[in-house]
Amino acid sequence: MRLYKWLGMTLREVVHGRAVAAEADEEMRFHLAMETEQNVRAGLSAQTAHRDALLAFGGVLRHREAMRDEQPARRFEHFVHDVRFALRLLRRTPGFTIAAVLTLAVGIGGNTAVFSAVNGVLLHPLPYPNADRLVTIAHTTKGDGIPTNLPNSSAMHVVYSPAKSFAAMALYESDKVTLTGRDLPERLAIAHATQSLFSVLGVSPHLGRAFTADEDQPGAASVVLISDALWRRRFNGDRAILGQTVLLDGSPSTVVGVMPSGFAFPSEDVQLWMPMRIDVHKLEGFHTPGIGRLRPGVTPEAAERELTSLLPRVTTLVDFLSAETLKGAGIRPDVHPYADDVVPISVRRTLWTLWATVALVLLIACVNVASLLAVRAEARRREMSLRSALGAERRHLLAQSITESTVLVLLGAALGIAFANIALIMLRRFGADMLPRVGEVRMDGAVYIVTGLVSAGAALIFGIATHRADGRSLELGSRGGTTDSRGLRMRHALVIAQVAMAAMLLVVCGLMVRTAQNLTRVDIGFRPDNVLTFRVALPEVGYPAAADVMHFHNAMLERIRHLPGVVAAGATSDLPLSPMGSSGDVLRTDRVAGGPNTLPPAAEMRAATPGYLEAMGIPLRRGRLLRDDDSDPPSGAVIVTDAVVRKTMAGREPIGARVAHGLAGVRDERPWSDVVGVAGDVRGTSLEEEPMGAVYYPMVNAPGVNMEWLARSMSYAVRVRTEPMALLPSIRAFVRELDPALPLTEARTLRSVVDAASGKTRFAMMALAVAAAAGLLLGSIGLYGMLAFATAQRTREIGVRIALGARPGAMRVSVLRQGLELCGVGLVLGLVAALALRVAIRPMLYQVSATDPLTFIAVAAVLMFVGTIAAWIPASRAARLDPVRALRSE
Amino acid sequence: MLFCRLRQKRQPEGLMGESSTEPLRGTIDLLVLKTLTLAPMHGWGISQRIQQLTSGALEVNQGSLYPALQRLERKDWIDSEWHVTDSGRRAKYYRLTAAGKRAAGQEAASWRRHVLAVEALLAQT
Repeated sequence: MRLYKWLGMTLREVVHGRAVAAEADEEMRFHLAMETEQNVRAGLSAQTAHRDALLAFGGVLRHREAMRDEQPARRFEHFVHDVRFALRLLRRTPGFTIAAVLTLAVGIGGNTAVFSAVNGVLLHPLPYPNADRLVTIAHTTKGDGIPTNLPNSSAMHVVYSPAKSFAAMALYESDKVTLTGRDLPERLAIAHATQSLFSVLGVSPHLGRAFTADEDQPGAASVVLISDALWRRRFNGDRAILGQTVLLDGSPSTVVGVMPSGFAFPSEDVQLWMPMRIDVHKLEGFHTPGIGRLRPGVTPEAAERELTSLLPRVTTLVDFLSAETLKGAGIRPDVHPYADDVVPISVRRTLWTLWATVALVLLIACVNVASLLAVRAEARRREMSLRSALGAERRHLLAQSITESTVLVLLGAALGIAFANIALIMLRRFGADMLPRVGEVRMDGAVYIVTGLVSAGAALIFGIATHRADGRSLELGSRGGTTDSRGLRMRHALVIAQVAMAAMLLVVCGLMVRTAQNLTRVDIGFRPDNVLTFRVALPEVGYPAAADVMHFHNAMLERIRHLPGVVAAGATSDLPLSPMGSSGDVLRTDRVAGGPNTLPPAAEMRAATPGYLEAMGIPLRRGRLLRDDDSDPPSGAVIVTDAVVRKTMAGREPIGARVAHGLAGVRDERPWSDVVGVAGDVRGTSLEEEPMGAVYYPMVNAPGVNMEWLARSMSYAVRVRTEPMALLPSIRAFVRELDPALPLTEARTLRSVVDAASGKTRFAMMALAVAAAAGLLLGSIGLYGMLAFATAQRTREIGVRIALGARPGAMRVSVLRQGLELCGVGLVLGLVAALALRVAIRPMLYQVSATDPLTFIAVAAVLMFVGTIAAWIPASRAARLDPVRALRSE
Repeated sequence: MLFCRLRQKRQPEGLMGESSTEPLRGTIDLLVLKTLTLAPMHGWGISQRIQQLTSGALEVNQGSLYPALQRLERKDWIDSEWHVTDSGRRAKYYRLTAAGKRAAGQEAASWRRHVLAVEALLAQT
């Protein structure tokens, strides 16, 4: 009721301001008329009566003002007036305005963009209900004996099923299949998962149903769930898809459901989901990741303890794992939040570091603008003194200062948000390889709130800082000979802070540059230029036998080798630096006797055709290459890499050694292979990871090793003399010639594979470099501005000293020394702070120490150089000063 | 920014010959409320009645009534309506609202407490 009244009156005052004023006038006129009448009745003359009435009333104008001042609309008028005044002022000094707005825009824009990324990638929960309860179930071992993701798929299924910490648990496995049918054949990512996956994730199909328990039994009819994107693209969003049969790698599966749009488990590219159909009576396999949903209130640590207590049960189920083996290999469960896998810790660190960096840039920007404002406040002393003398209230002057800085900050924030939007558009377009969950990075409410708070904070601080400067100038009057010491100290502190922050930024950036340098110098083990790569996968339908697979690949290679410009061509099961690279398995050799309770070191298992090592430029260290006659009939010849020799042969002669892969090899259930050659190592999954070592098997027919499953999907490498991509049309034609139903996928140059692998580091480096460059630029401008201003403040003092006989050279030295002293103090503080931060920085570095002396020295040199220039210009000006003019100047 | 002029400052005193009997701002509010409890009245009438009731001891500067009236109306303690007076003039009549009646009682009570406190203080010294 009261609020309505208030709003009604205020609204009326705003909309019908004139009518309200007229009413008040009429009311007062009535009052005066009545009073006059009464006075006349009391016997006064008409004139006197009116005068007395006016006197008693006490000034019509004054009361009308008082009424208007109490109207809220009136306060708004003041505000509009202040804003207009601020805008006029900013227009009058365009240089200042542009500098300040741009500076703020860089600071606020950087923060907004990076916070959007932090918000979308780190702070937003994963798109599953109660996503914080999802955990990855993996296994770790002591040393590098066995790959770290070691849940024994089927054994884990049985052994861990009594665990009470979990509401549900699921296993999954990623793979690729070829979808054939009405349209062109297509290679798609697929996940095989236990039926419980959807209850673990808490997501169900938006059309149709999830798998039933029966469908997850070995031997059950094949069913498949498809993604919303695939449904719309390939099946025109037709609801009749349910119950239809699709061909995956040539074998039929019934579509039972369509997953909701945006469902992307375990990765963005997965389009199909099939039941895993684990046979609990045939326990084996060491490569399946698990995911679990914790019961409310259970921590990952508690769940891990429970699984640890359950793990020994596995020895009763799997005969080859004894309690001693478990203990000797140090196998233990590792339960950690699933979110940590989606956004790896390295990305988290990079993003937090980046945010800290742009926060520093924003601070530098704020210090810059604050000093610009302080300088301007000095320049406006006279105006302020005058206005104060004319009766302007300090309160109003403060309000105006705040309005002015608010207008400035708003302009900066608007431009900054525009900058941030551009940055985000670029990030979405180019950053998909560099940042997980990049699709979820957007400017939302939280981002605007943070930007708003940051801006409001900046505006308030600027307003108050300026006002304090104004206030001082009021006290000092218009003819202050020297600046007061408080202002001087504040400005000195600003210079020092600025240099310190710039130093920290530069150290971080410098270390990242060194890291990037080291990564480009990493010996990846092959020569990536002038190589074309692509992948062909052969379905079991059409290529039922190993011989068919081999025949196809040989026919392809034969044709490719005859193309003009081709130097070498070969194929492998997994290219280096591919995240889906083959995982390793334990490798037994006859060069060392393995203890009963230790698992031997692991090595990757790769299929390679003759010509592959040459095409990749992987050096052969000893022995011979694989030949065509190693495959058919199988000769048992293999090539191992340096790391395998180093890890498993204990310094003995590798050529002629015998090796056997996997647990079957350890248990002596698999025939030996003979080492005929030693090749160089390649980086298998990433640039940073040391090579695990690999065994190259001839395609398909190694004795006792079924390479068929690896050889079905092969990556080709073709080394040419000219532009690699130019070869692609001819190669596509070959594939069509041999089998029109086969898709050719992942066609790209080997160079682009390498570039993609360094993408994350490049992203971090680029972002940090941009931030550091912005910080250095703003910092040097600010430093110069402050020193120039400080010298201008000393004009009178310098004039006096020159007039008293000081040599101009001495004045130059004095100014220069002052600048360099401030710079030096800031530099030392900044470097000490950077040293203190080394723990946070270290994990992002590669083969460079967080206290790398070269970086620190370079940063010190750059900043002292910038500082010298910034101080030199005002110092020379001081030396050239004409004492007479200096003394006259204000 | 609505905090530009947080509150209009006090006018400089003594410009228009106010005497020390000029009542405080809150007092005007109380006087107006009290006057209006009798009957609805227009601004001039209120000033007349205040003078009569206080026998001129509190010389209200008549004009300062109007900002007070506006303030009270904004608080929804009083309501206004234009009427024609007996003498045929248009005048704005004010009357108490329900909230205003309650407020009048409370204001009076708090005023009494205030006076008693000051009285007690004066009696001590």
